[in-house]
Amino acid sequence: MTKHIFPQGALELVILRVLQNAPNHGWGIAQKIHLISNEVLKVEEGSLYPALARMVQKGWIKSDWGTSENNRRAKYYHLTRLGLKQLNTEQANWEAMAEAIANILQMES
Amino acid sequence: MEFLNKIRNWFANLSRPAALHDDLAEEVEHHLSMTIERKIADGMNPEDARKQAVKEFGAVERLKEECQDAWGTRVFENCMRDSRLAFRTYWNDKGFSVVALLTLALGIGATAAIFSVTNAVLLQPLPYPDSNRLIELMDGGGSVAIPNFEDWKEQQSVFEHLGLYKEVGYTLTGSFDPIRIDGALVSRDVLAALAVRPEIGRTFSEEEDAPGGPPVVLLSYGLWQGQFDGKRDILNQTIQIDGSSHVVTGVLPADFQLIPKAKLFLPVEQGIEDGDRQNRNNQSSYRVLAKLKQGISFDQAKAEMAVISNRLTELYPQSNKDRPIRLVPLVELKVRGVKQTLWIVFGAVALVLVIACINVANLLVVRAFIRRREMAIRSAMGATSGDIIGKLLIESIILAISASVLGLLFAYGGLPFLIRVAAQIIPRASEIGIDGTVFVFTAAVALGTGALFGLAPAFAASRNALAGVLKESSRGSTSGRSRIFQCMVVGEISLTFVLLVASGLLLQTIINLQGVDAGFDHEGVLSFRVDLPESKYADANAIDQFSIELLRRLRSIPGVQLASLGTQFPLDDRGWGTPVLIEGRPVPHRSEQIPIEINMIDSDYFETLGIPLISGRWFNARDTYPANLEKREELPNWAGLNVIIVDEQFVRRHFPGEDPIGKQVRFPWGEIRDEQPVMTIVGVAGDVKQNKLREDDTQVWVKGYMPFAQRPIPYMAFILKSRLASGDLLPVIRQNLSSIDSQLPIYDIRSLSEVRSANISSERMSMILIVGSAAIALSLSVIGVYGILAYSVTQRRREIGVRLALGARRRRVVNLLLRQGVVLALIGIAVGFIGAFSVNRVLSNLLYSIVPNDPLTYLIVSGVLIFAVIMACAIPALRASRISPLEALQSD
Repeated sequence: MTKHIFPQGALELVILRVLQNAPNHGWGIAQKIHLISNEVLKVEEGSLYPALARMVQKGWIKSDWGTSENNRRAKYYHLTRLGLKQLNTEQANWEAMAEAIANILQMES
Repeated sequence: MEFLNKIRNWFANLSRPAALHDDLAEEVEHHLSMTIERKIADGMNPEDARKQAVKEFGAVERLKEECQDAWGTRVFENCMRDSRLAFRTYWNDKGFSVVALLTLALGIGATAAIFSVTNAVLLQPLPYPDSNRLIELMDGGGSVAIPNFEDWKEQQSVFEHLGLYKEVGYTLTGSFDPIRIDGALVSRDVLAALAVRPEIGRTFSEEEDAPGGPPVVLLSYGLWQGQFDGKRDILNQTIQIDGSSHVVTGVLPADFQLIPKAKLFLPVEQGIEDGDRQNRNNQSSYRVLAKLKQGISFDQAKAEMAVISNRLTELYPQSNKDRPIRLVPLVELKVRGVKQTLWIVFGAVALVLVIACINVANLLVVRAFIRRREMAIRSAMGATSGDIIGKLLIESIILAISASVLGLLFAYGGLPFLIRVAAQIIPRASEIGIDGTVFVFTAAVALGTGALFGLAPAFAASRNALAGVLKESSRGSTSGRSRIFQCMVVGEISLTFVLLVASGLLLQTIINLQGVDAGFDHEGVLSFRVDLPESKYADANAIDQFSIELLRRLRSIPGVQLASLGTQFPLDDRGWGTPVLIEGRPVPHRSEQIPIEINMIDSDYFETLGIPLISGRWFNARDTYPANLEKREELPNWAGLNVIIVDEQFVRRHFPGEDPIGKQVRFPWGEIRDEQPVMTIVGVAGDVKQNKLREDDTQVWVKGYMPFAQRPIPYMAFILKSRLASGDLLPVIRQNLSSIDSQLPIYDIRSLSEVRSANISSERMSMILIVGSAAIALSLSVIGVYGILAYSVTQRRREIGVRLALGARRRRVVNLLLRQGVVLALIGIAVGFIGAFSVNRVLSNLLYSIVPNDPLTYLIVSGVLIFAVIMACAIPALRASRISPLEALQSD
């Protein structure tokens, strides 16, 4: 299980995508990313929370207090309209980029 | 959008950093709990699970900082943290804090108080719209001749409004005791220039401000509130002014202050006498207020008025030669007398503030030294020197801000007192207050002083920290730090020296002025004025009869030794002058004629005031008017009967080396020479100070005294010499007066001692303020010197111990330390000498009978300072001499 460091901007994109499905709390977001990436990607807590704080600042996500699976108060993040727009743009960018890189990597030698 | 969100959220975050941190902590706690539960579910024991979870989570501090960056609150929170820390540090060191806070608050408070005066009087515009366009025009010396004014008004094109006004006294009668009230004649143009909006009612109409218009009056706000209870139905009611009915058309607003004392305002055109309308020589106290047109500069107006002035001079050389029109901005005219004094006082308190800063800087350096371990530890823990300087600066600025708040409170508390002291002398006193400008000024002063006294110690401390004070190498060596100290103390002493010299000079000025021989005896002399309304006392006989009767009654009051009257008395500023010609000498041009100040007196005047007779004789009973004449006006100008007594100054100017007795003089009134009054000089009286105690021969007009009975005028100043207190005397005087005429008020009731003392009140005020500043400066310096010496003794404890152990006498130790203080004082005095020499020249206008570089003052001040410094050194020096060598060597 190797750890992969997120490239610049990717963490925020991934978080936005996770939150598009359903609001979630920090631990849940990290867990989702870990599981869905087939345990390839692991988010450092030290980067996750500052990233969330930055995204709140930019207005992409909002937070509410709710009750989590273990009956504790937890901060749930959900996407705002601005966040959704951001997700769409970034996702398109990312896919275009990924495809371009893939093309280069797969070129015939 | 994103940017706006960021800004909005940032502001929101700044207001609740604590909540953000709580939220984050809870979030982290939740995260951990989830991880722990997961691990327990995976079969780990709870304790290990927790440890593992915390380990996986990583450094929480780091995360916090990154979140702070995301929130944008980090710098702010750091400042807050440092501030809290600073407050706690101050709280833990109350002795230091109280001394530093009070020192600074005193300095800042004094500066703020004086600044609020300076600001209101000198910096703020007058309380009228576009007040910078208001200008006073002068016809040569001052007041304007009406025909000249009419020509100006007709020919000028630069002013929007150009109007006349004049201060006049009125008698107000009614259902109350008659009162004497200061009032003014004002034109519609003056009211328009000042954009006056009446509190109630209206100002004058065109028909009202015209010769022979309906009698109307405007009231001041104060008179309306006081005498008429502020009732609105005063409008259109009739009040009795000088015995005739006037309709109240309006009440002026409370801030109308063109003539601060005036309470009644009558239309000027109705008040101009026919004689004044014709005569270009007659400058009867009319003043001219003008408002520049929009877009016209002061210089443009000046140029145009110069052209008009030249034109008039050509047309009327007789009267207008050497009488250029002068333009003075109204605000300058208002503050002319106090401008210099105020700036000097402001400079003095600013020096006090600098001294206070030096003292606090001293304290902070000492503190920085005491806290050198703390700083060293901080720098060892990774704090950069910038961090430490920043931290100490925040401490200083917090101290400065707290001191400003306290200082503003001091200023707020002291201001009413200051205004009361100054109200008589300072114009615009009612506008003085602590307003936004004073606030901003104080805030700027706080930050400035905070940086000023904070920087030096901060740098010193950070250098110490970097130099590794942990090594404790500084023991015994007192090089760098103590040099900073010494410089500060020298600076302090030299500034104090400057202030002490200034106060020494002003103190002597006051003493000199109080000792001035004014030429008359003021002890036990009471004066009051009575003006007779023309409606009732139409001719000279009636006035004469009134004066004779009142004087008779006054003289019969038990306890009254002498009673007399004049049209003015010494140190009274109500004199009037007229040119005088010597018979038998060529007539000089009008502009070169020396005016003579005329006082119509009763024969007891000189004796009542103790004015000596130099030669000739006093007036006697024959110098009155022949009683058999029915109408005095019929006699051609008192020919042959007229006598005049002149003063020594007159003789010095006009008859040097000659005997003036028997010579004749003439007043060039009217065009026809034969109708001009001629008078024979019968006596020479001693000089008296007419306006100011400080006036000298070159500043005064020559004086002439004429018998009141020969030309009675309805304005009289009575003087009474008695042993009674004025409080006992006044009811009797009033009773006697009202039995002659119950409608007459007496006013300007003052003892001549009071008059004399009030004459130098402006000098006294500057003296009190400067001496006060100097006293504060001296005490701060003494504290400063004491502080540095006490510190030095602590520092040199071991050295002194060694000296004592090696057999040094305790006397020698005391001398050693005293010498240290005296050397500093001497250097400070030397620097102060230079400072005082160059600065105290600005005082020369205020001084009297003393030069700014008076050697004796410098000598005494040096002595006082050295003595004060020795006293300040004595306690630490004695304490040093009692150091036990054993203890000193064992300590540390």
